[in-house]
Amino acid sequence: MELNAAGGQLQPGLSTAPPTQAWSTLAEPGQAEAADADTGGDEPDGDELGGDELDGEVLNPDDEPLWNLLPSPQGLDPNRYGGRTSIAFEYPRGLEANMFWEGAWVEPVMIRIDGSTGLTLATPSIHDDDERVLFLSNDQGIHVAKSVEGLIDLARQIGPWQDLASRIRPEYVVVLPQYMFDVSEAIVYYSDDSDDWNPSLLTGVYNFAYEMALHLAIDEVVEAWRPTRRFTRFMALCANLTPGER
Amino acid sequence: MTQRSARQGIDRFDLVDVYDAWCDIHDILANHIQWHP
Repeated sequence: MELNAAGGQLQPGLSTAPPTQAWSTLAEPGQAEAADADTGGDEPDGDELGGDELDGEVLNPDDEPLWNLLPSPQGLDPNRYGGRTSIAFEYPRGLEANMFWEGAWVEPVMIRIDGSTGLTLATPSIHDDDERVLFLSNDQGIHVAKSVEGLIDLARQIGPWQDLASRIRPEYVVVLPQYMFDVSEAIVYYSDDSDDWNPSLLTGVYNFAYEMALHLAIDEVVEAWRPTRRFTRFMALCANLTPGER
Repeated sequence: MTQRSARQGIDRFDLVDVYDAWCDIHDILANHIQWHP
């Protein structure tokens, strides 16, 4: 099957809450331009970044699906994954943290991929195809930390939010469910019956992958999102699914 | 689009191909991530 892309309104990531500026709009075909990787000339590359001295708690050490780690209505269960929790999962986050991220026009983003879970920063969707999502990145790629402390340290060293980083408190780094993207789980879904799929997870990952590919100018992935492709039409169908209904 | 028509449309796709396509995307993206502690 050839890769390709869908258009139209799609849902954000693991959305259990009203999306704020969720990545719910895809670019129109032909408008997809490689986003500015925002690689500052004075920034160190990945090999030069510090972090080994950090002692932050590793996110999701058992590599569980992110969906399983979201708080219940009664709050986060401290007994989950061996009693190890992270503030990053402690949704809903406080008013002060919300104001901080909204004022900075950036959000902490969680990604689970390739057996690991980590945090990065990205601008929210702005529903403007001429201005794409920015990530915490340089010419080495998108930088992802496996702990809250690691993310703050990364933000001090690279990317467009270095001035902001000194004001990021660990307790601010609570990831909204719509900014959790479980790429690993999406692939598991595609090996199961579609009755069990979570369409908001799939379309959220779909949007995330597209923005990441645009930002990094990964042409072979961006190409897959062309509207004439069967893959695109397939993902548009997924966006119309309701879990568990036939 | 109704739920039923979406399901019918999905059923017409070969999910093995969809799975393979996503595995390719996963691997490409993973290769562009720099992990830190």
